[in-house]
Amino acid sequence: MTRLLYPALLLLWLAAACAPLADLQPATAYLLASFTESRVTVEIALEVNQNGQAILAATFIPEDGYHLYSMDLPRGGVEGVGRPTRLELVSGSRLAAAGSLAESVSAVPADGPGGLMVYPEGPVTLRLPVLLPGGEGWFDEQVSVTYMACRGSQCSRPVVGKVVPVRVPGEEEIFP
Amino acid sequence: MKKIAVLLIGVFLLACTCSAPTLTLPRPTSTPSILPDRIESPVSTPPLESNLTLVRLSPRDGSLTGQLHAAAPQAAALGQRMFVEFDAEWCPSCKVITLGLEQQKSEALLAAFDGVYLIRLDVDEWGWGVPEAGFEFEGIPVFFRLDENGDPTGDWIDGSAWGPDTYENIARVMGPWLHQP
Repeated sequence: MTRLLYPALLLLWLAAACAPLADLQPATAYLLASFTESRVTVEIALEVNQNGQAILAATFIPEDGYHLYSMDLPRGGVEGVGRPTRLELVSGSRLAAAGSLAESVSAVPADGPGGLMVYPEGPVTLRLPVLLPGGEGWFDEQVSVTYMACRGSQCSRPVVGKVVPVRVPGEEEIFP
Repeated sequence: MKKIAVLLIGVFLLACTCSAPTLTLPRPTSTPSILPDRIESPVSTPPLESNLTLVRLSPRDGSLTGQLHAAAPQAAALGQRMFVEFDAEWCPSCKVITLGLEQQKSEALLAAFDGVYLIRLDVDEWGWGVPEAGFEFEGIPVFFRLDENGDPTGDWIDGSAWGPDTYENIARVMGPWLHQP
């Protein structure tokens, strides 16, 4: 009995300690839209986590060698230079923000005199907790994305405030 | 059994204190001013002390081909070789080049561009390429070599050639390219 007790306790402790991680993993995800422009593929999804929180997620997947800029850059860049990576609701949307935008990876300073904050090469996901429209069924909505991709010292055309049509479920469709 | 129950409760309480990190990261309280000077966008800049001429053309002044042909005799009179650069204010690498050349922050860059007549074109004014004039590209900054008449030779180089945006990196790559026979 004692021999089994400690391994069992260890397993219980690990399970309990890891439980909060489950909050970050979507229990359900709906792909709402996808497009490729200026060297970046953008996938917009609606995730519902274990706590029942709806989260609007945009995954920015740059081509090999390209990087994106921090979501914390000013909309117009730092003294005009660079453009942030952003996921935003548009004016008049029935979606409402229920938290602040979060990034899946941290930005680091770029090399060179500019030194803007950039994400390391590879995909970046921005997540925004949202309140869904009330009611059943699915609703036509729009979200806005902004980004700029550069490879080394070569930059592609920035995508600024691109409005992307999406169709989102009503609250009762997800949480009947 | 009581001991086990107490132990289990203790373990759960301990586990509850070990929360996983959240996705929300602290935001900086202010935007760092890491770029000391604004990009100047003059229509034309006077020759610098070095043997370099910087000119910025505008589509308001006519076709690009016409303006390049008009500039060719001026470059020839100065004994300089003509190049076109497409840039933009939002482009970090272009900003570094601007600081190095227009504001003369880098002797290495000025030396690399010695003997050059550089015509700078803002993509936000000219668009993403001017195919009718022979300029097509996918990224900036990009430089095109022109012949003595002001027409593109087909030879070009872009920012992917020099890696991180340091003056030395840019000068090391651009110097030989600009001065190749």
